[in-house]
Amino acid sequence: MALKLRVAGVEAATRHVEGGVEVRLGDRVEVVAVSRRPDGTLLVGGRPADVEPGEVSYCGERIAVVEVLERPATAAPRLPAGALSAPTPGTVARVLVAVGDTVVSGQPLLVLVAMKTEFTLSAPRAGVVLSVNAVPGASVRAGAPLVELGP
Amino acid sequence: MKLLVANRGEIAVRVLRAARELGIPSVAVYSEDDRESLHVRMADEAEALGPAPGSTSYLHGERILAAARRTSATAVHPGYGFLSERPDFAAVVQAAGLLWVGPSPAAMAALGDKAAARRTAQRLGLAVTPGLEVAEAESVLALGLPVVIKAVAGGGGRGMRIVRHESELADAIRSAGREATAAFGDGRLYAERLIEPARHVEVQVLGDGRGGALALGVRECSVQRRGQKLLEETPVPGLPTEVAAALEHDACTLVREVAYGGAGTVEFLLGPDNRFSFLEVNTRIQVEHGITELVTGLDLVAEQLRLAAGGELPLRPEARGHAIEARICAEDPRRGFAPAPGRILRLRAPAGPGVRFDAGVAEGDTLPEAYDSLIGKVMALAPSREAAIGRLGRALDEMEVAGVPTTAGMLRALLDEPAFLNGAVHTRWLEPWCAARPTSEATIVAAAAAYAAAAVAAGPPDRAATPTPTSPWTTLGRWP
Repeated sequence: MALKLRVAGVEAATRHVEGGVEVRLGDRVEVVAVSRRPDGTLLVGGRPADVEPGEVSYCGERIAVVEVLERPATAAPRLPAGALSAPTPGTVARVLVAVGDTVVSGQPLLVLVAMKTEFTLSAPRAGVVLSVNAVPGASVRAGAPLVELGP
Repeated sequence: MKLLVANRGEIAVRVLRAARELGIPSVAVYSEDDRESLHVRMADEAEALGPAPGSTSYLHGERILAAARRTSATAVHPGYGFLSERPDFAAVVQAAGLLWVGPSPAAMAALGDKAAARRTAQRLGLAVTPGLEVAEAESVLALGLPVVIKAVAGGGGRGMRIVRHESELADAIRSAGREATAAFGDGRLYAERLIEPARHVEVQVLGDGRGGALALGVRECSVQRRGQKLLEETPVPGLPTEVAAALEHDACTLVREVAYGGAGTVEFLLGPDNRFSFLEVNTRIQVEHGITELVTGLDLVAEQLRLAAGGELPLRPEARGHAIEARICAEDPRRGFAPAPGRILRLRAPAGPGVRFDAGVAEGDTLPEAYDSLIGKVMALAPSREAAIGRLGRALDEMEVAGVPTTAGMLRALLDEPAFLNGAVHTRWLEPWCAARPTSEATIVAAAAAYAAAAVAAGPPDRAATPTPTSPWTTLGRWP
């Protein structure tokens, strides 16, 4: 099976070969050994990797991976375009915007508390707040859509 | 002695190891979320405190004392964080007839309270940056912006905020106050003029509680995010011997003045011209104590226990080589160091010559959301800084942590960064560097291979009968 991916913003093409996966990154072509441990852990180049929806964790890094191949749309739930999701499970400490607010890029939108640390979620770009799905004190799960921004 | 360890995680494990080596029976305490934690498994006995939040567990002094009574413990080690810098807790421990492994409540109050410590330092002629206790926003503005807001009661970057614009001030005070209350049970704040760029250096001290003091070298701790350290080394790269001696001298002056007992750290800001000013004192053992242990050969926790029992200061050991530590935290450096609680699916410790690994969890354990993100510390000792950096890099390459994102990959990349190798890093350097850092080609290739391999296992989406929530096909929409 061949895939076209966008990995951390970079296009990569993959193809399964004996003992692993061939990855083409521009002019660079590399065959990466892939295997599974008895416990099911995926080993890539000898080190464990976790594959989650939309991202791969490898050596402590989370790398965004999306397909750019013309695949049929999945039936799975999708976040609305422009939704800002919780990067971590935590508790909502404060909501700093309301529906209809115009925000600038980098503006703090809400504050989560996790692991004894207040963490601010900021607007990745300018826009108008279409919806807010968070109230102070509420527990949220990682990936929960919290704020939706329109153009 | 029978020692109750009033803490959790990495530092509880560290103290329990020292107790085991000295033949001292130990008692762990734990919250509901920590019932199966490593520190509980390592202690001789364990006592439950209550629900996970600090206020009902590790910050609940009465419950900790009740646990000590039930187990007939005779001494309390507070670790770092939680109640470790609370003179009122030290006082009730002593009033209950227990040995407090730390400085006297009076010495803690004199140096641990940032406002009092600054007054004492000024009186003794140490250089101090302009600052004041936060009453209301207007008084802070009088200092001139930018300022740094800090918790009066504790360290570790909790309750700390940098304010550059007047519009951010009120929010920063509220938010820092909440964080300080949650972390230390004391929401009082302090404001200081922000000096930048500055390096953060600190002197490890021991006091005998009778006016004797011993300095054990200077640590460099400028690699920070949110004001919290991620990598430390000793000695300080490029620091002239006479400046190191002056720092040690000032630190010992404070220790002698208040008849400080046990281990402590005196922190300073160091300017580009090697001029320094007193910052604060941490009246407890610190996360980064291990690198001082590596270069001095001392066991600082054992020294704390000895000094608490009235022992003499050790002779000053001859420091050898260079030691460096990387803090492995469950955080996502690619998302502004967002905390990432979760299950440690795999943990392979680094080992080999000159490497030490102190962790608070084992493979399969869960890092609760209620506590801080530290998984463990990788330390390396070698004859030179260059060799220590090479050794730490090798150790980080060897370590495997899966299940949560960590600071490991980012810190590994930092070790190859020219600014770090040249000792040109200051306290505000890491976050912009990390944000601008591209993902390496090797990482991109590996991630592509991993995704492709998982895709085969999952099968194509149109033929998959029921996509599971963890399948890569339930791909969530990403920010464009």
